[in-house]
Amino acid sequence: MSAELVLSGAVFIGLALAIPTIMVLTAVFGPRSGGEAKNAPYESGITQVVGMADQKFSVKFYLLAILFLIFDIEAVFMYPWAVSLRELGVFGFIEMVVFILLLLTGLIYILKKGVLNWR
Amino acid sequence: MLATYLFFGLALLAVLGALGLILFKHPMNGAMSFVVTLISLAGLYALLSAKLIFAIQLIVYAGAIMSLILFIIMFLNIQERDLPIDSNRWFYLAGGIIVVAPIAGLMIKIAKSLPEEHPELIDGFGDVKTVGHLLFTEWLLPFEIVSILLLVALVGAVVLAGKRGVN
Amino acid sequence: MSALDILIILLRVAFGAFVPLSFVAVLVWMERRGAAFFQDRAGPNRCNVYGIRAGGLIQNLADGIKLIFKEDIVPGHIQHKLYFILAPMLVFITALLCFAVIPFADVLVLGDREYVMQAVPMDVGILWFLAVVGFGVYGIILAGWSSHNKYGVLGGLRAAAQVISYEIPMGLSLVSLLAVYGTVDLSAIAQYQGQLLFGFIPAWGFVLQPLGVIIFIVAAFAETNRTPFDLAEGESEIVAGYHVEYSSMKFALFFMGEYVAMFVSSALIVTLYFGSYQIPWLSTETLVAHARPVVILLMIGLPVIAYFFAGWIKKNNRTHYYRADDPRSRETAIYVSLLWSLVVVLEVILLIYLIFAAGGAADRILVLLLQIGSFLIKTFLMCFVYVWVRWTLPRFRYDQLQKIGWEKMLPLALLNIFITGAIIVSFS
Repeated sequence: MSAELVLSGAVFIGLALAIPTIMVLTAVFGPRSGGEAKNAPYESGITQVVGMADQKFSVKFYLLAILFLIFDIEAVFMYPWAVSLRELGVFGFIEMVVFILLLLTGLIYILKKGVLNWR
Repeated sequence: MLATYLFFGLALLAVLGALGLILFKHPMNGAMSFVVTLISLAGLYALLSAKLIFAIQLIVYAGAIMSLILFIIMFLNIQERDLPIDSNRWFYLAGGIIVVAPIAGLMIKIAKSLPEEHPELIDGFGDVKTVGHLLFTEWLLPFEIVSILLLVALVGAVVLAGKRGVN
Repeated sequence: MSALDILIILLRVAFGAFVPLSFVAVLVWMERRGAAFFQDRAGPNRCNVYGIRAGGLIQNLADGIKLIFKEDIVPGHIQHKLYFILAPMLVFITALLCFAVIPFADVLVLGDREYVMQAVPMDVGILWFLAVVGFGVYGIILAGWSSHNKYGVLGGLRAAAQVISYEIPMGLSLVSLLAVYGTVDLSAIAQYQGQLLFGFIPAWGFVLQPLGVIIFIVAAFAETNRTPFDLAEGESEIVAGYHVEYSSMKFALFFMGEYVAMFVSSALIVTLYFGSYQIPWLSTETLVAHARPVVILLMIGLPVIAYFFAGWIKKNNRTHYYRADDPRSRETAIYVSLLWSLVVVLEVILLIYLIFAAGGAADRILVLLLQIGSFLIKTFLMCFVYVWVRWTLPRFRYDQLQKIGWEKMLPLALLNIFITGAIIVSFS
């Protein structure tokens, strides 16, 4: 960790955190007014709110998140492989083919099971 | 010197985040404080020049796993009134501390037995390339086992979700 | 650290933070005028300051001021106000942080010091981008969840599901690209693209990875929630998606975050696939070695470009019917004189450079500025592609979106890795 990296990182992150504080501007300059309709969930102009926003959603979203997690981990394993592929040679390539084939088996299983059919 | 200050700052954040995780009642608060812990841990890895681990910590733990958890909190739409009333919270907490205490003692012992002087880092330590080379030559078998493990996890997730009816 | 070191660090950080911000104004303008262009109408062109309309750019100023003076509503039904306020900030911050690792010029050599031209000189490069893009989901989820509104929750859910689905093809298409370049450091990737393939084709990413570039660009569109993947804010079904409960500057932050994300992903596409800051056939060494002829060419080229640009302004910026004391002619005269005085100033600077400063550090800085220009022009063109696609393609349906992501792009990305790996292994 060089001092250069720490200094530029700190200044950049500081700026990135500071810029959103322009939000405060509206709190200072903006008008204020109350009203019952303003404090209700927005329903395209209907003030009598129908139902609440707390229903449960399809288990498919959960499956999607799990799939994302698993494939993300696989992708993360591939970055070091890709970078050092030239040194690893044919052997390294075969390793990754085995890995990808296992991945592909999983993907085909998901597709055959109809997990990603949104109907 | 700078590294020492950074270490203490990040370590403090990590511990505070972890405390938040177990003390907050609402799952969203817990999850968000856990994110703080995970990001501070990534910072600690960066201080140790483990660049690949730093990136993986951010991508997999702080990115993928936490967005999975937030996603679940979001679509289950857990509200304050859905939460169980756990009157035994402090009891469980004390039990947890008792279970973890020996491990903590062991860790302190290990930390004390570490050598005083700083070893020289080998060239390219923690680089993506170096780690990749090691992973795919010396640690080949664990790597391939990981792929099978991921496959099993995937099938397991589908089967478990399928019990309640995927369609 | 010397004073020069600190100066360059501050300049780099300022570039990395403020260029995306100022591009927000340009991109909003481009979006509106582009939409008008594709739909054969004029677009916003009335707002003015003393008759100066700057081609519609003043409209952005008016909009910004309007958003500041709007009422900042936090509806009473919101229980988690902290997350409600945090969400737009997160969206903006993550979009901006992605730009930290993108190089905008070649390594600057001054004396015996080398300065990597990234806002933050990290060598984990593309991995940092992937990590920070992953954080972008937090903002969306928190916004949707804390709004506690039916449309908000649905929009947030859709957007989050879409972003995480397309992160996989994006990551996998990067794998084959990294295998080609053999590094994750974006500066090294940009330098690699300065080479020539077979002696005459620039070795840019899209030549080396024709399939990868398509997968990456499609995934990048989905990541930024742009059309044809903008069903998170499908107006016809869920009003505005996860920003339905937001108003005034909080909404503006979402808006700015979206455009910063669009700018950053254009910059990344350019960095990875379209030669980054490289000017085709002119590597950094060539430019530095031939600084004098390059400057003379510039001195000839600038007035020519200015002449045609002034002609174009004169032809278009006038009232098309008789009008006494036409204010538009006055405006045109101001533009043209500004343009020519800019040209004169530039010519004088270049002349001073030629006479006094040629050779040494000044050459390096000149090349740096040229490369920054090349990088910004390429990024600008890539942003135009975003606008172009938006006004050309219709929106996908949700199941189509998921189908394309998992059934088409993911296997294609794996195939691309396989082909790339086979070629690299057999040639090395």
